[in-house]
Amino acid sequence: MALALNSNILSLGEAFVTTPVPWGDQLVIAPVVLMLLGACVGMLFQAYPRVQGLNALVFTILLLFSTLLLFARVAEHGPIAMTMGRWLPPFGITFLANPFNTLLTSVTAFLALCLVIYGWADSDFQLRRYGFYPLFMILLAGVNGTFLTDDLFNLYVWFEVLLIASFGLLILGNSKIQLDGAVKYAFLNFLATTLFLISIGYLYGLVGALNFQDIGQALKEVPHSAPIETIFVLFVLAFAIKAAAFPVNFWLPASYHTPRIVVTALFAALVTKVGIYALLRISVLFMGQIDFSPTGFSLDSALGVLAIATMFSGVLGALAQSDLRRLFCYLIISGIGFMLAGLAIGNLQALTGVIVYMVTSMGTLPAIYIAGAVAGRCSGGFDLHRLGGMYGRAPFLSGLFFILALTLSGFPPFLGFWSKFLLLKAALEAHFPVLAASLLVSSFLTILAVMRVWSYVFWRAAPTAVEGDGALPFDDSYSCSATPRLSGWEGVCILGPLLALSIFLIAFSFFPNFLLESASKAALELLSPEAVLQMGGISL
Amino acid sequence: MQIEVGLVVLIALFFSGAFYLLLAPQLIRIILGVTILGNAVNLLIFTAGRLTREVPPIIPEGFTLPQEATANPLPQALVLTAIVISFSFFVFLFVLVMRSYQELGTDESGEMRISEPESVPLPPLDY
Repeated sequence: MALALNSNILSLGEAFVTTPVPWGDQLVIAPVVLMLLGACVGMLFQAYPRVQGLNALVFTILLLFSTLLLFARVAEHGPIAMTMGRWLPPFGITFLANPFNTLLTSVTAFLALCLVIYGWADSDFQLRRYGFYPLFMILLAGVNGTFLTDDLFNLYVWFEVLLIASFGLLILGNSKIQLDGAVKYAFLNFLATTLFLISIGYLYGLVGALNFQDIGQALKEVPHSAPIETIFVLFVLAFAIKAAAFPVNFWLPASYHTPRIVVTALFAALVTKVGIYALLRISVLFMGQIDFSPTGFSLDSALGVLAIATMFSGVLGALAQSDLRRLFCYLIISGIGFMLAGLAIGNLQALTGVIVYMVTSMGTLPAIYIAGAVAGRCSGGFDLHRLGGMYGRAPFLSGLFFILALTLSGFPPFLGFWSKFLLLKAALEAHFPVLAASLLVSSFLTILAVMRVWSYVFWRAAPTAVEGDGALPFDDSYSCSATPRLSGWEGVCILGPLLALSIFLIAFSFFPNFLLESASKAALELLSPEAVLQMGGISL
Repeated sequence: MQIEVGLVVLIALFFSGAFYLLLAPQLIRIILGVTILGNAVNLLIFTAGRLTREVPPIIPEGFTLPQEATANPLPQALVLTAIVISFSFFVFLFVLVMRSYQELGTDESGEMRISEPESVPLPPLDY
């Protein structure tokens, strides 16, 4: 960087932004600033749980408005960049709002609003006094920062913000099972971010840049002897741990079922998606520059193997679980496999499929966790042996669960179908027959897994006596487990978010054009025109 | 180039020590491994920015740029950020390990099986 200073820039004036950012473009940082501000205000009212709930509601509504405005603005005027501290991009840190990340932040804000409202029913006052809502908003600030930043080291910093908030949320409640899960989650995720930092160090040592655009330029000029393949593999390993891809996913089923359902729903929707998002950004930078041919392996087949292993380990794990929450944990992992499959194919259509899949699962997973939580709290545990009879108690909820289960498994009229259809079509057209077959078979197994949940938990009559040999011990970790009332105020807090998420999913199922167009625009932006030409349109 | 070699050897030693400790079953060793790993990474970033002998970053009068190659300030800023983050993580992990030792009565990671019970019954197979 010192050399760059000497050679390129002759006067310091050229290194500074001299025109102020227009007011409308300040929206770029609004998703982060609003959430940090909300968290601060929440901490001031630590002793007032009701105020905290309202405060979180106000700030997430503001967040939703600002992200939607930003989405509309980017759709109208194209990407908006904002550079911090007046230094021009190679030196200053840039936030860049493009169609991809504004789509993701809008969906994030929507589901955050739903979960804040659900949190009113799921978090008791003690939990709020220990900082549930501030941590929730700090996590969202981390997620939005990760989505919006255009600087690799800044991405790392937002990852850490997200991670420390997720540690806090994971141990809220302080039960034995949470501490056990948190130890595994914390150490393995910390290792992942450290690997990410190591890769940043190596990449910086090689190209001397941290801005995404600069790295992309610099990577084109590095000599062939440079070890960029090694650096790329390190990045993939780090993000694979974050995204819970197959051989490195053991932290997820060990920890995700331990906290409150509202926390699990938030993690399921966002934390692994952030890993996939970062993996997409990094892969796009490196694609076309790396060459694995001396090893006899091509990158797309390596990623394809990873995707297939993740899909099957996830869905087979789900079939073998008797705890409802852990069953859904394994379905999260299976979904990660689908997104990795799109990345392995790597063309425009496949990436569109990945983006639609991300949006779908960001909407479906929290909703399905909420519906499962109601069933679990009615039965005093999440053991499939013990659950049952929900259709008689809550027919409306059962109907919603059925639709969500079909969406998750990709059954034709619903949104999950569109993303899987795009992925499958891309796989067949780009000649990945094994990958295409795996997509179909694992979707079929997903249908089996979710329909088994439907038939045991909702459709069959409540089991009168639990057979002694098979059942899990009674689960007392869920201290908020008084039977929820699905009427009155509590019913609104539970069914309202569930209904909102379901309407969101159903609306896009029958009118998918808007989402598909936004996603394909986002994928095009991600690949960027010259990258598309270099790739020849097919593989990574 | 020559200055970096010594540091590279040191970093390799740090990494091998850290990974040896991370592979241990006891949480207290893992946490020490995490600390050493953080320091190894900090040194790595510092070295990746290239090292120079002591040159004061002073710009002579009448110039806008330093006339000699001075130390690269960016890796130092990165390391500073990374130190702060890894220290806060270390503190959190230390308290987490202590609390889980108090609650679970063990610091062997292999014996911590509450969230993942060893013998999980099969899901119901009949309807």
